[in-house]
Amino acid sequence: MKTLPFHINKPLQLSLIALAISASITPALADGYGLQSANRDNAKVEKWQCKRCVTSSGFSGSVGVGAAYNDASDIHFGNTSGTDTDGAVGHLEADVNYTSATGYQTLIEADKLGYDTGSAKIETGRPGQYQIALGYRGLANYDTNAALSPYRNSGDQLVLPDSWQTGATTGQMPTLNADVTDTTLKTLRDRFLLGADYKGSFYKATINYQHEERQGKRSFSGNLLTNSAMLAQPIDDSTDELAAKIYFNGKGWLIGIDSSFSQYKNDHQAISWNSAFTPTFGAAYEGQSAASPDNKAYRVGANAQLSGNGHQVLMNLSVASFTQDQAFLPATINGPSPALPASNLDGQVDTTDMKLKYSGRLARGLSVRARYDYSDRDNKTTLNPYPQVITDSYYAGTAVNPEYDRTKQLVDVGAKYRFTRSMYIDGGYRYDHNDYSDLDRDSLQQNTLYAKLNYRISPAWSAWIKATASDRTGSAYNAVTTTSSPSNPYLRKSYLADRERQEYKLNVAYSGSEAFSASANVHANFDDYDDTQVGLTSVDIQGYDISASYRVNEDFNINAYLNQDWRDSKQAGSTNFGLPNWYANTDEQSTLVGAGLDYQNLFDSKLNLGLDYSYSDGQSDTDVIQGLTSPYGDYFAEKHNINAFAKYQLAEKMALRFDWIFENYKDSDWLNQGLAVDSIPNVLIFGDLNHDYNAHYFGLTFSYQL
Amino acid sequence: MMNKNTGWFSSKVINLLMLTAVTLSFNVMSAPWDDQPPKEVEALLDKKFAEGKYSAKGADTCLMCHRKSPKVMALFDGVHGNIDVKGSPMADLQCEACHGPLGKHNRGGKEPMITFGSNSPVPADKQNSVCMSCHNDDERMAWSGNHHDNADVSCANCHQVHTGHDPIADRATEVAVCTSCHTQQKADMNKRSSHPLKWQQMVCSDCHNPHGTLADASLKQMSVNENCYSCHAEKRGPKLWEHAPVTENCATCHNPHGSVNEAMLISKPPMLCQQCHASVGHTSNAVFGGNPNAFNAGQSCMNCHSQVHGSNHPSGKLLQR
Repeated sequence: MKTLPFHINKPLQLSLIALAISASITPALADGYGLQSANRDNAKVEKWQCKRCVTSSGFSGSVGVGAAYNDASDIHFGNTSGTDTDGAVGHLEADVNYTSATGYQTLIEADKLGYDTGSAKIETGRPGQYQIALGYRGLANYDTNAALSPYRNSGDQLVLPDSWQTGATTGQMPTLNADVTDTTLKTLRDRFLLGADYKGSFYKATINYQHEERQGKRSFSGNLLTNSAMLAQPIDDSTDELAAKIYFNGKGWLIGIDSSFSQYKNDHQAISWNSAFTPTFGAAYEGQSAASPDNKAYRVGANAQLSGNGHQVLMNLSVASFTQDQAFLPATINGPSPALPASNLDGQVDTTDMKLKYSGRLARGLSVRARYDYSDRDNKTTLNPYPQVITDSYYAGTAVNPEYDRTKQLVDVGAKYRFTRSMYIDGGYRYDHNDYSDLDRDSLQQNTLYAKLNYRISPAWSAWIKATASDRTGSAYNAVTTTSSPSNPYLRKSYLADRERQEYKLNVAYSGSEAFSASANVHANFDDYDDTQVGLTSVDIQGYDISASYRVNEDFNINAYLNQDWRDSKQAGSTNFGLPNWYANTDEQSTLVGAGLDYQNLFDSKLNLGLDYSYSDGQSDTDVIQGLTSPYGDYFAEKHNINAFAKYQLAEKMALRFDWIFENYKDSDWLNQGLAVDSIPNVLIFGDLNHDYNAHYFGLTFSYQL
Repeated sequence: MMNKNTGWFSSKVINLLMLTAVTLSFNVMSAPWDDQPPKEVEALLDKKFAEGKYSAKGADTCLMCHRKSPKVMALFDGVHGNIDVKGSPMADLQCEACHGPLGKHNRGGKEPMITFGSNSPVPADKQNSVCMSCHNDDERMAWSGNHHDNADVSCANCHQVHTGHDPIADRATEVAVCTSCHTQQKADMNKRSSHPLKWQQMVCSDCHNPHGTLADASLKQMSVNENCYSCHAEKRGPKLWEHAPVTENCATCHNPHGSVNEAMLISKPPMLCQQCHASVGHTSNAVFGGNPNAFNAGQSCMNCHSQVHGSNHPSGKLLQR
């Protein structure tokens, strides 16, 4: 067989391959108005002058400066206002575009800069050729500022006051109530971005670097034998990520390489604490847990897309490696630690992913698609016996770390057939096959059928219905023997259990007039764990939503929406290592209602007004039944939000904007509802963490139009 | 300007939704070829495209009539209308790059041109073929056959071209546009715990690529877990003692869009844990409400097994260290 002449260049080869693929899969229909298919024989582009085209250069956009009052007596409101500063807070806004006469463009954006959730970006370059971007983004999560704890943070340590007197139970700790102080649990992220891309005639190269620092505290628990204390674990870590990719393209082909490197560094290697309890039965005075170890991740992948004549093939092959070699902590800090088999894990997990996808149009109105995915996780970490000193207190022999290798494969074939311009059906079949090591099942298989019928009833009305049915089963269920105590033989772990799933969705939409549009959705999902006697047996989810918007006139819009859903789950347990003798039912319910209006150009086009209101309410009711029914306490979260603004044009280029946010928030969780720090004899908790507040934010922003 | 989810923001969203769904359709609906059956319009457009009868003066020909429309002229605010931008339609076949060859349209304006949006007589895939002929790059290489493509979503359903500021590209408006169709996710993000989507600290495109990817649910990374690790690298490991379902799929226990439960859990501990753990001893017991104890209060099972995401402590097999 004759080989291709070596002087044929790579792009041409790829084009030829693309051509061959498209030609070999016939018949085919290439539809559309793509530029490559344009008949340019009669286009005298060289004579086009574009005299009426408008080119603008210079600055445009606006800059603003603002001051606000924020009520953060409960920092949870910060999740809405973007800051937990209690009192006055300032911020900068910018949306500036500078275009030079020669085509360079610079964008400067700032949003809530000055708040924990502020962001800013500078982007410069020549659009369509190259760009460099520099960015900042803050993210914040505010949990509570009222977690009660006698512990103080000191580096990796959580220490009790010098005067602390231990007790056998929390109720017997004499200075507990005097020593507890409010602890704030929140997480702040500062993310810095640097990116650049360059576009050549047949290639595009992109490089991005991101550095993120995270600070704060989160809930943790330190446990010694049967005693435990909730602790505020410090968070001080960073993640660096460098990603680069280059893609080449030509007629009918696109090929490229993506690569990334990510490194996680934690300032804390451990969290250690003094026991607040009087040691009993040989328990320790101090405990130590591992913090998340430093780790690295590498990935490199190749993608290729070949297309032509209405067919397209997409291929991906990528490999990744996840490594971690942080030095081990001792097996216990209570006396001499047994010798460890290694000084660090030298952990390595390699993954291989391969994906192949085809999509094509076989006849007018008929398109088909097929997909095959292969994904393999290979844990290369050395398996060793590690001494187990349970909660720094007693030696319980050794245990070997599990591998948890797995290989996942899936095949998905689907087709879409259009009966008429207003009706089509889309359906398919999917097969998932997973192989596992070290789990109760060696393999799981799932068969799924899905179909969707879409019908545009009239120019105003449209509807679709979608149904999915899947059946999951697998190899023989043999409970793993590596656990310290054996599993009930009737237990089927929910993520490995046989399962029959049905899903239905219905949508109806109306868009018959320019002013009014509305839509409604109904959805239902039924999971039946048909071979489970102990464990999760069923989950039913149902819900609906309706929404509408109405344009009263060119300046006045209103909208409203309502969503409700329910999730009911049932599970069974057994106290006698046999068939079930207790049951738990959990019924969740959620409601979201909202409405908004927007009025522009009032008072001689000087005033714009907006108002949004939303109400959300979610609750969960749990009943445990073992002969008697034992309902749990309250579990809910209820929130009213009002967001309003008024923007007044002071002069041609100057505007003043007033913002008001109001939030009424109340929640309860039976895990801590009404509890004091010493409500549980053997667990020192943070107390009642429920929220109940009314909070306001008032902001004034002056902006100048460039 | 304070929070983008205030009325100003909703006005932007309404403008976007109505502009794409209504104003664009308004242009179409008011077009002289509205009375013609869409099938005939499409056939005529096919014919015109094949004949390639482009105008004599390009955009200057079109703007003779259309320059009075602010919407048309807003094209020049963005890259699509910038003749100096390499690869821009204005640097090539100008207006006719997207709207097709003029043909006889300028003789009374009755002959149809290619239009965009949900009420255009041009089917979504044909509308999209125009956009994709320039935008088939690494970000959109999996468009064909992806969820939005299958659902006849056209580029113009989400994007605007005749502007210098495409609202969907603005983080402040993105979530509202996505959730106008993805209503279950809208409900989820308003629940007790969710990723911070409601106030746009995060947006949908932080995790998903709406133009399709090779992963399930159009996730940007290869798997659910790698998607989560891109912000939660501390959970990436590998760790000495891993919790098997954690290494496989974070969504086994969490709903990333939100939940009525804390920490976006699909169910509350201890029930969640007891869906997999029923061995001899305490995990097999029915945990009743009422009297607070180490199982039904504080952090429930996590009072002792606090390292549910895995532990790198040598003695951490039971995820207590």
